[in-house]
Amino acid sequence: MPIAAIESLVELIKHSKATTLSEFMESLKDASQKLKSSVRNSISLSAGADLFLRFVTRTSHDVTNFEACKEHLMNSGKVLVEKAVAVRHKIAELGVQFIKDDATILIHSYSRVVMLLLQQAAAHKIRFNVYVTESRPTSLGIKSAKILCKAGIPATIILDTAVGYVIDKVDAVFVGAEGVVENGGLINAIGTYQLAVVAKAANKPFYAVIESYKFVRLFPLNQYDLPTHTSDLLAFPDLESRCYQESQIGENSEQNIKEEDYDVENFVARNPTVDYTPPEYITLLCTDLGVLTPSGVSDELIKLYL
Amino acid sequence: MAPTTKSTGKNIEAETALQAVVLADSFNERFRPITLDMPRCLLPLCNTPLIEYTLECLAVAGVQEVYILCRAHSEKIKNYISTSKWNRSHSPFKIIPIVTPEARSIGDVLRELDAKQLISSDFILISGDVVSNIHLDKILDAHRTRKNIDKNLIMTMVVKEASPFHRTRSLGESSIFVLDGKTQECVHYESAELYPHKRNMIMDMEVFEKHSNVQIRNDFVDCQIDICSIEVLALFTENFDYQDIRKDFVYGILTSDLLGKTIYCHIVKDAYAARVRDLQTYDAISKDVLSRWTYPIVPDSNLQEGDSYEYMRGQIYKEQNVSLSRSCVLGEKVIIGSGTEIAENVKITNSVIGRRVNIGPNVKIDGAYIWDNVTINANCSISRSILANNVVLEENVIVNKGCLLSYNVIIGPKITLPSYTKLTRHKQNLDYDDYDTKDKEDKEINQLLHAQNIKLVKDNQKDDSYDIKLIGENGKGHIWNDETSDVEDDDEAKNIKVTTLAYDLSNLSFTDDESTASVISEGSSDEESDSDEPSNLEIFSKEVAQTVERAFSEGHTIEIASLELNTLRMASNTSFRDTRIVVIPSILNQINTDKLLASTKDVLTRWGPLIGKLVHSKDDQTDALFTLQKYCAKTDINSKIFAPSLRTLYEIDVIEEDAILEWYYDERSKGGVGKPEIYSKIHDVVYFDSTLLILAL
Amino acid sequence: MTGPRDLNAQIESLVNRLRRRQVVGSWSVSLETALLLRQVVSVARWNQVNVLINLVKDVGGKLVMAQPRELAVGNIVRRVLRLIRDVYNSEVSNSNTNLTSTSEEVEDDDKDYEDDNVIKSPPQKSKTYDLQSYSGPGSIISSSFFSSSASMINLLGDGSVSGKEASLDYDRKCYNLKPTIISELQELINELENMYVNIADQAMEHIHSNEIIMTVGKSRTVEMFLKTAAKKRKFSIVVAETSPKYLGHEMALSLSQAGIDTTVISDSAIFAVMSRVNKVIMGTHAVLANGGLISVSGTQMVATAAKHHSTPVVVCTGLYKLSPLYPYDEDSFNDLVAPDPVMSFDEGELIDKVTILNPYYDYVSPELVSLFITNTGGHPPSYLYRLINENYDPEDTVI
Repeated sequence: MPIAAIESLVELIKHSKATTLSEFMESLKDASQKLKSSVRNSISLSAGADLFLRFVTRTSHDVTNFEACKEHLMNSGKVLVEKAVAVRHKIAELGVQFIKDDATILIHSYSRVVMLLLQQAAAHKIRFNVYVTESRPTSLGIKSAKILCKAGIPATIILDTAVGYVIDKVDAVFVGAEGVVENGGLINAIGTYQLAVVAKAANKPFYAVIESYKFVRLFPLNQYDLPTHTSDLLAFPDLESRCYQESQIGENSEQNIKEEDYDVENFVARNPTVDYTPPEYITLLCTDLGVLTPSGVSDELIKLYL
Repeated sequence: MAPTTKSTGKNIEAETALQAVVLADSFNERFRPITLDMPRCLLPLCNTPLIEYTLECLAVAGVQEVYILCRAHSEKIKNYISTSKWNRSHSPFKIIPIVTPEARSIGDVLRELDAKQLISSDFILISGDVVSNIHLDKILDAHRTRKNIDKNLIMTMVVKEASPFHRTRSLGESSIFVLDGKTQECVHYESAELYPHKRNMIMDMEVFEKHSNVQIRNDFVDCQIDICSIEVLALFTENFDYQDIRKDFVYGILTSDLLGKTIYCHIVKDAYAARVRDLQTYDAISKDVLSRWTYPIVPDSNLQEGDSYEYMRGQIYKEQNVSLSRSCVLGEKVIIGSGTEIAENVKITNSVIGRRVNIGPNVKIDGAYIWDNVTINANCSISRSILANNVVLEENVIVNKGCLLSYNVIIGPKITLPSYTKLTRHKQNLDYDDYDTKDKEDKEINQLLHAQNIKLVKDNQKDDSYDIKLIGENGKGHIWNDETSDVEDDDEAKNIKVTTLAYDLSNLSFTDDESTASVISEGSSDEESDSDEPSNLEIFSKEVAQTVERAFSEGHTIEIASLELNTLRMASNTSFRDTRIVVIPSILNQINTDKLLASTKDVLTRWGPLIGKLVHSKDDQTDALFTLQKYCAKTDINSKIFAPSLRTLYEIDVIEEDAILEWYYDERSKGGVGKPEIYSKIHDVVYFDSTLLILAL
Repeated sequence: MTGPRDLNAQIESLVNRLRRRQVVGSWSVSLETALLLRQVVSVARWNQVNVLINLVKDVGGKLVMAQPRELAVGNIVRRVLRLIRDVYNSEVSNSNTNLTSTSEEVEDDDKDYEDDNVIKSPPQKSKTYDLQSYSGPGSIISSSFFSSSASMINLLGDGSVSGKEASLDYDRKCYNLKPTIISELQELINELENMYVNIADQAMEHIHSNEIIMTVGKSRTVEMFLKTAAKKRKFSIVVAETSPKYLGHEMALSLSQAGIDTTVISDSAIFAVMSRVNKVIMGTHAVLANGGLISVSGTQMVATAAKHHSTPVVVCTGLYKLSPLYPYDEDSFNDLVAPDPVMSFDEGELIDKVTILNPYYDYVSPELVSLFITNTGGHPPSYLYRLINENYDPEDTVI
C-alpha cells in the first residue's frame, strides 16, 4: 500500500504541469489527501504518502532547478519501489536470529515480511514449527499456512479463539503490521491486540516485523482513535446463513428456539478490520533500520519529520 | 659445573624461562588397535586432539618452553606440532619436539632428556594426554615456597580428590598415597591395580615416628602432572633401572633411606585435571568436558582455530554448518562437528560426533564416539563404542557396547557386532608373539614396523582374508585381540579388559565380593585356606606348635621331634628361624613357675637339645637368645625364667659363651618390644650370671 | 620495535588471553581493547579513513569472536569506530564550511547537547554535504545527517547512488587525522580510567541518610559508589551472598571495612528482607540495547523481589557496558561455568547420573530496572536507545 501510494504520486509528478514549486507541492498534497480518503483503511497508504511528501519538501529546500528536481524525485521514487523487496530481505536476515532452534512460533494473518523471515530461517537450517491463526474475517492465515507448507515448514492453523489455548506451547509471537505509530504501537489486522495481550500474560516475547516506510505520524490514544475507525465497516457475509444452519439444528434439539430470534437485522454487528496494539505489549520491533524498542520508533520519526 | 654458577643460573632462569616437558607417548597399549595408526596424544577428545588440552593448560600457566618427547609415530606428532598454532610467531611458548626412538620407558626418555642438558630449572612434567583447567603457575609457586622450607623437595605431584568408582578414575590402575596430613608430604606410594588384588602394603615404621598425622588415601585421581626439580632427571640417570615415574621413581625415592629426598602432593580442590589413561577414562573425560567441569576448556570456548561451537540447552554443542533433520532428536551431552548431516528420525544421546559425519535415517546412537568422516547408513544402532575416522557402517548394522572400530574399517550390511569387538584394517600377526614374547616394549616397536609391513603386503594381495561372517559382505577389517591375554600376564589382561569402553561395574561386582570376603577371613581365623603368603606362615606356626605339643604329651624322643619339625619346615618352605620362634616359647611354656628353678632345669635338659637341633651357627644361637629374651620379657614371672634357662642351655652346650657375649653387647638386648624395664632387669641378671659363668670356666 | 608483525603478535596475544579467560571482567577487557586499538591506529599504515575503519573492524571482529560473552569488547570497538567517523566528519565539514564561507559554527563534539544541535544544524549541515557530494542537487545523504546512515529517509535517497556514496565518503585521503584520532582515543581511555570516580560522584543524589540498601554480587562500581556516599551519609547495606561464587561475602567484607553498617543474607532470604529495603543498588556485566541486564546470577531474583515490593532498582554501570545488541536469545549471552561450586567433583556416583548446571549470568528484563546511573548521569531504561545512537554507529552493530 505505501509503495502503491508512492508510485501513484510519482506518476502524478510525471504528469504534473505545475510551474512553481509551491503549486507543485499543493497538487501533491491534494493528491495524497485524495488518496487517503479514497480507501477505507488509509493507514499504510498515508504512511507512504507522508513519507514521499516529506521527501519532496526536504528535497525542494535546496533546489534551484525545478525540472531537475522533478527528475530526481521521479528517479528516487522508482528506486524506492525497487528497494521495497530488498528491504524485506534485510529485515528477514536481521530477524532470523530471533528464531531459536526447535522453537514454536505463533504468527497472525498474512504478512510478506514475516513469511520471508520464516523462509529465511528455514534456509538457515533452523528447525521450528509454526502456529498460524486463521484470522477471520479475511482468513489470510490459510494463505500463510499454505506458503509455509510449501517451504517445508510445519504449520498448524488454529482458530483466532484458540490463541490462549496454544500460547503455552509457543516460544515467540511474530506479527507484521500495516503501520507503526509514533509511540511504537502497531496497527495491524484485527486480532493482533488480543494476541499481544495473551502473549504478555503468558510472558512470551512479542515481535513486530516491519518495514520502516510503514512508520506513520499518528498518535492514537485508544482503539477508537484511528482514522480507520468506522463502526460498521463490513457486514458479516455469512452470519445469515450460519444462523439458518444453526436454527436447523436447533429445531431438532429440545430447546426449540424460534427462527425469528435469529433475525439478523436486529443485531448490531461490528466488524473492524484493524486494531491498535499499544507499545507496552511489544517486546521489540525488527525493522530495516535495525532492531528497535517501541520507544525507538518515535526517535526515527522525529529524525525524519523534524 | 661449579655449584655457584648453577645456583645463580637457576635464579635467573626461574624468572625468565619456565620449561615444561610433555610425554607424548604412553608406553602402554590401552588404545590398541587405534594407536597403530595414530599416537594417543593426537586422538580426538570431543573433536580436539588430546595434546591440545595439555598445551592449552601449559599456555595458561605461562610456560615459555615446551619439549615434546615422542617415540611412536614421532613423524606424525612433529608434523602436527609444526603446522599447529603453537609453532607460529605469536605462540605463547617455544615448542621443541624431541624424538627418542630407542626409549622403552618413561625412564629412558627422561634419561635421554637429561643427557641433552636442556632443562635448566624447575620444570613441569606432564603427560601428553592430560585434560586440565588447573592454573599450574599457582602450583608452581606453591612448589617453590615449599622448596624454601624443605630443601630436599624434588617433586610435587598434582592429584585430585574423587570417590572410589568415580567415572574419571581408571579402574585398572590407581594409587595409594600416604601423606603427612599437615604438610601434604607424600611419605609412601603404592600403586594398586585391580588385578591382582593387593592386600597388604609394607611401610617403614619410621614413617609413623616422623609424622604425627599420617593419612593413607585411596581417593585420588593421579593427574600425571608433576612439578619437578632438576634433580629428578639426574636421579633417573643415576638409577638406570627406573622405568615408570610412579611405580619405580616415586616408590624408589620414598623407600630409599640414602637419598633423603622428599616428594609432596598438591591436592587440587576446585579445578579439574585428569589423564586419559585408557578407554574408560576417555569416556569419562569426554563426559566431563561436555558437562563443563573443565571450564573454560569447553567446546564453545572455541580454543582451536576454526572451531565454531555453540552451546545449546541440554549440554548440546553444535558447530556451524551442521544440518539436522526436523525429526531427529538430540539428547543430553551431544557434540556435533561441522559438515555433519543427520537424517530423519535419528536419535543421539551422550555422544561425540565428529566433522563431516553422515548419519542416515532411523539411526540410534548412544554413548558413542564417532570421529571424522564416518558414514553411518540407515537403521544402524551404535551404543558405547568408538568409531575412528573414515569408518563406514552399511545399512542395518548393530554395534554393541564396548566396540572399537579403528581407521577405515567397513562393516555391513546387516551385521550385529558382539560386545567388546575390536576391529582394524591391520592384520594382527599372531606368529611374532612366539619369537618375541620376552620384552614387551620391544614388541611394540616391532609391531609398529610390522604394521607398516602388513600395510604394504595388504596393498599387494588385496583383502583376501576378511571374516565375512563377522563383518559382512562389504566389510573390511580384521579382528584384534589384546595379545597380552594369551601371554603370561593374566592380570594385565584383566586390567586392560576393565579399562575398555563401557565396561560395566556390574560385571565387576562379583570379583569385588570375593575380595572383601578374603579380607575378612584374613582378619578372623584360618577357616578358609588361602594360598597367600601371610596366612601360610600362620598355618605353619600353628602346625609347629601342635607338633611340639604332641611331642611333649606323647614323650617323643628329641630325634623324632626334630625330624617332624624338619619335614614340616621343608613342606612349607620356611626357615629354621621361623621354627625356632615357635618352638622356644612352646618349650618354655612347659616350665612350672611354682618351682621355677627345678622345673626349668628339668624341662630344658629334656627338651633343650631340640632347640640345639634348630641351632647351627653362632648367629643362630644369638638369635635364639633374642627369642628367649623376647619370651621372657613378656611378664614379670617369665623374666625369672631367663637366668636359669640360660644357664641350663649353656650347660647342655646348646648355646656357647661367644653367642652369649655377642648377644650381651648387642644394643637390641637392652630394650625392644615389650616392657623395657624387664629388658634391663634381664640384662643385669645376665651380667652377673654370665660373668660368673665365664669366670667359672 | 613497532612493526606490523609485532602488532599482529599483540593482537593474537589478546585474542588468546580472551579465549583462555585470562583477562576477565568488563573493565579490564575494555581497557585492554582500547589500548590495543590505539596501538592499531598508531602503528598501521593508512591514508584513507575507510581503510582504517576496515582495519579496526577486522581486529575488533577477531576480539569479539574470541570472547563473545564479554560484550564490552564489542562496545569499545564500536566506540572507536564511531570516534574515527566523527573525527573524519568534523574534519570534512570544517574544511567545507571554510569553503562555503557560511561559517556558522557548529561543533557537535559535546554529545550531551546533541539535541540542541539537531535543531540548529541540519539544514546547514546537509547543505554542505550536498556541495561536496557530486551526485547533484537534491540528494540527501543521511549518513552524515544525525550521523546515522540507516534512517528512514535513506530509503528514498536514490539508493544505488547513495549507497556508493556512503563508502566513497570515507575514501578521501587524509593524512593529518592520525593525531586527532589518537588523542580522541586517549580521551576514551581516560574516560575508562576515571569512570568509577565519575559514577561515584553521583552517589549523594541517590543515597540518603538512614536508608537500607540492598546489593548483590561484587561490583567495583557499586563498591565505590557506596563508599563515596558513606563518607557523608549514614546508611546500612544488605548484601545477598550470591552463591555459588559467594561474591557477596567479599563485597560485604570490603564495605564493612569502610565502616558501613553491613548485613549479609542468604540468597533465599532476599524476598523476605526486601520489604524493609528502600533501594536496590547493583552493578551489571552488560546492559543490552533494550535496557535488559546481563548480570551475575541471582540478580533476576533481587530485581523481581524488588518489583513485587515496588522498591526502586538502580543499576550503576559505565557507558562502556552498554551494548547495541538485543537479547534475541536469553541463553546466548549466558555462560555456563564449571559446576564445581554447585557440587563437588568427588561425588562420583552423583555426577554420573545428575546433570549439574552453573550459569554465571542472569538476564534481567528492562521493566524491572528503574534507573541506570552511568558516568554521564542517570537515565531510565527507555532512554538507552538514545545513548546507543549517540555512542555507536548503527553500521557497526554487526562487527
